[in-house]
Amino acid sequence: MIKAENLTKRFENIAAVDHINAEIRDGSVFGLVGTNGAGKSTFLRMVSGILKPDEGKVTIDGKEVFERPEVKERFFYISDDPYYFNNGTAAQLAGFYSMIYRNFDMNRFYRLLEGFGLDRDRKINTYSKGMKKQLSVLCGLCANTDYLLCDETFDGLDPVMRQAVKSLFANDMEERNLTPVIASHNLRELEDICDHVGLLHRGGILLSKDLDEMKLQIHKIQCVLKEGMDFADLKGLEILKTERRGKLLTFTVRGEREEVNGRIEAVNPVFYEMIPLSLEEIFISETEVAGYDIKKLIF
Amino acid sequence: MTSKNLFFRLTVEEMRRRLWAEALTFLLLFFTFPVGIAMEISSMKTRGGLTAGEIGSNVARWCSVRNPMLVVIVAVLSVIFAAAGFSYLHSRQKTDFYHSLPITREILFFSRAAVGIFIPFVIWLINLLLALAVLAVNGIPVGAATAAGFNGLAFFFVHYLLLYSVGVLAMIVTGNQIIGILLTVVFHVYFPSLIWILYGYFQEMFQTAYRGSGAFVTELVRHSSPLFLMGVSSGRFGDMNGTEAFVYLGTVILSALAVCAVTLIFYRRRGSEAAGKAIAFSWLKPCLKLPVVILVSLTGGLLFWSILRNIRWALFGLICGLVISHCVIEIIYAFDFKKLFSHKIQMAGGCIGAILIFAFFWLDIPGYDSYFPSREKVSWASVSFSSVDYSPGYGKARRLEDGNFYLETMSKDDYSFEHMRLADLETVEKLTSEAVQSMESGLNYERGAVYFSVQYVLEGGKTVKRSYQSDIEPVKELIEKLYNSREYKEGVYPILKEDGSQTAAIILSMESMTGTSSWKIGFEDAEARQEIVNTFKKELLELTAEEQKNHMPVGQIQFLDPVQKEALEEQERAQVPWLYGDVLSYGTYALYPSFDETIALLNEAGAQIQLHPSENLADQVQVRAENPDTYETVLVPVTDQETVQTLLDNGVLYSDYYLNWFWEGEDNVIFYVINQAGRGQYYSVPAELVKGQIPSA
Repeated sequence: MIKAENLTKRFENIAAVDHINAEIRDGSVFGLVGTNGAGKSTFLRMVSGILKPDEGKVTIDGKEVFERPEVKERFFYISDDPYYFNNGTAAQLAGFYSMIYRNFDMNRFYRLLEGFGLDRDRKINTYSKGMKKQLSVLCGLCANTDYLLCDETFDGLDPVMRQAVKSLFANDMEERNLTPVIASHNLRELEDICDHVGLLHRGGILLSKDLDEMKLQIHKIQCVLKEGMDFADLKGLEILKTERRGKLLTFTVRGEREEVNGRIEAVNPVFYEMIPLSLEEIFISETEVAGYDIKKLIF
Repeated sequence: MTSKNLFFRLTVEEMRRRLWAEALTFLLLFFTFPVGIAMEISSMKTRGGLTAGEIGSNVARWCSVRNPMLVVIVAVLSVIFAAAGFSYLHSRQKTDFYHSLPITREILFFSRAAVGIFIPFVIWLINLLLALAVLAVNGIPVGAATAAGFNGLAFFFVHYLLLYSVGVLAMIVTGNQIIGILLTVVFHVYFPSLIWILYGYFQEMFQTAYRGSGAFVTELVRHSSPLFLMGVSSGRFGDMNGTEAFVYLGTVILSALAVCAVTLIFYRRRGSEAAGKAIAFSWLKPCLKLPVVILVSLTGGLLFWSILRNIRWALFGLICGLVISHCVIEIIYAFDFKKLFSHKIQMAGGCIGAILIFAFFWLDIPGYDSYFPSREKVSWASVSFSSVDYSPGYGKARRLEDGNFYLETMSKDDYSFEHMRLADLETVEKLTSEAVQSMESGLNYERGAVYFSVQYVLEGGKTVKRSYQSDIEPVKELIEKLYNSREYKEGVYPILKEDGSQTAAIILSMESMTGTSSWKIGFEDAEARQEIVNTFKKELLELTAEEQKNHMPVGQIQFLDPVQKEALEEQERAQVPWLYGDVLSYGTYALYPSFDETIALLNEAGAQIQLHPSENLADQVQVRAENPDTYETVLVPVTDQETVQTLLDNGVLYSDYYLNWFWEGEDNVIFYVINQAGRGQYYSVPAELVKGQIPSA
């Protein structure tokens, strides 16, 4: 398990990561979601031992990561802007990794490379952006580490490749209990793959929950109330967001499904229904509460 | 994988990444060693006259410590490899890549550092061996070149370690490659520049600042920077014996290790987030900036002071230097032009620092100019004039193991201070007092000034040196008194300290009616040499200022030591007139007409010194006169036979290109005797002898 306790990192006067506590359980896909500048990359860079925390610590199975090769052997980090050797080829890069990661599987690497249509002897700097990302992912998978830390890795991959990579992840998770940690702001993609989601905002963690559990805790309701009634009449509900179109009220509410149902039925609406929320809608609602209003940014 | 295994694998991998640096190193050294030596061999063979052994000795310098190109190459390579190895820290991409790997930072550091040390060494060695192969193929003995080459390798490689460590330190404390290279330059030139600027203040603001050889400054500069240490020491290393060389190299290695230790500390503490920043450690910014700002400020102040000698302009220069340097550095730190006036408090601090240092010199806070040792405390004094005596040149030549000659020079001041022990302190005191008065009231340069330095040796061995300027008139008699003393001459003319056994040959040169004549005297006859030396010494001691007032030297006499004689013989064999010119430049004295015994001995030994004009050769006599209308110097023929005879009977050789500070014969009549071939010679007679007889221009 990767555990972050009171993890803090400041860059001059800015707290990029501010006293974060999080647990990443083995065998599940952890999605790190956040607004721009939320601290996702900083968090991952501390987990991967690149940055030293200013406060707190990050451990893997109780052992701190920073400057401990025996701990760092357990993960492979894919940066949002990976570095490739100048004039190096895929084979040379894999050769380098095989020197560092003792379990690196060169045979599997060449097979996957061929499967993805990448030339092992072609210079990496002639690859497209998407091909480079594919290469990084393949290196990460073939390193056979326990954890794979991916910073916005799925951006730049075409839909077919995304599916292929997700399949590989799923396969490795099943076979060797790989734990991918994926940072992204592409919520639609994470929704398919993640089991657990951590929502970062301005250096702090807003929530960290199982995705299913999250979806069970937040609901979107459309209803028509009786004449003269309004949102204020819906007592006992933690309403996150409201919208009115004529008589149709739409609101997002936090709470157990049954309790929410009960509260609404108590006011005897004309009509109501519960609509499942996407991860994106959950994300927007939660960050609006925190004061991050996407509408203000757009308009 | 064990750490050791991983270290070696990483090192090999790193070597693969730096092929361009390896290729560049190879090219630099290839054209320096094997190609350079091949070209030199070809050139020497074409010129001819040298044996294979002599060629080998001469070309050995290409790979020795005495090749100045190697100083430049080592400096350049140290920067290239430092940047190539550690500029990855300046890129967030690369930093994330390497620091996320399961490798300790120490292994990463040492694997990169090892490449920067191993590659240049191996390439240097390969090219050295290629150079020796070139020699062997050409039939040239390799002994001298082998010794010189490995000696040079040891010297330069040890210094490379030090320079490389400094370069790596610069890369680690910065976050940008250009700034890293700039900081490397600052590390190498800051302290030497500071020393020279402070020395400049010392010379400009202290009136009596000693203006002699800056040997002590050179020594300070040498130890103030790794680059200057290498540059200056390369000229001295060849002269060190085994123990001295070993100790010296050991000291440099220890210094390199110390810098390496500091570098490693910074490396471990350097955050990965520093990539892309100007300086990786915030607290280091003012520490690096302030000293540079103060230095530039002082430079501005000194520049304006030296041009205009005005305090307002000097302060203007000080402030300009301060503001410009502060702003430039702030722009570099922030990568933002608009930040140029950031950190005003630091700017103020720099201003105060610069002004305090400026005031220290301008106000003479230590009381330098007013200091004068009391006579009771002075053991002896030495005085060195810049132009009063005919300086014979001070040096000692040596023949090196590779067969080349090396001249160890010494300044006139240093020689005089070492060998002159004036007991007449009263005269010295009067001399300096008059000089101080002249300086305070302002010198009259039109009437001539004299420059001199004084060293007082106090009880206990402490020395005090000062330099003075004075109008000539108030001090002329004092100078003459000093000059006539034995102690003074022994401190100026090295021949007086020798017993003659050090002289291996004598050369006499003088202008004659047939041109410049030169005679080799006593090259084989030691007895004759000895007698000439002893006689010359006696007559030199007897020479007075009074004599010099009316007579110019008639020629130059050079006393060659055994090494100089060898150098002269090699020069003649090689038929290269300028070969070993520096070695043959010292030991020359003026020969005055009053040195009759010496002149007689020289004539006995084969010279043809004729002090007076020969009637037989005189076809025409012309008098040098000044046209009163145009002030042009013209030669006017003398036709009156009686006048001509007077001139010929009394004329003594005259040469106006020999230094004779005491000459007062401006009133003397200078006349020119020409022979049929058109060659002539100048003579002089006292004016009163021919008063009324000289035709006007």
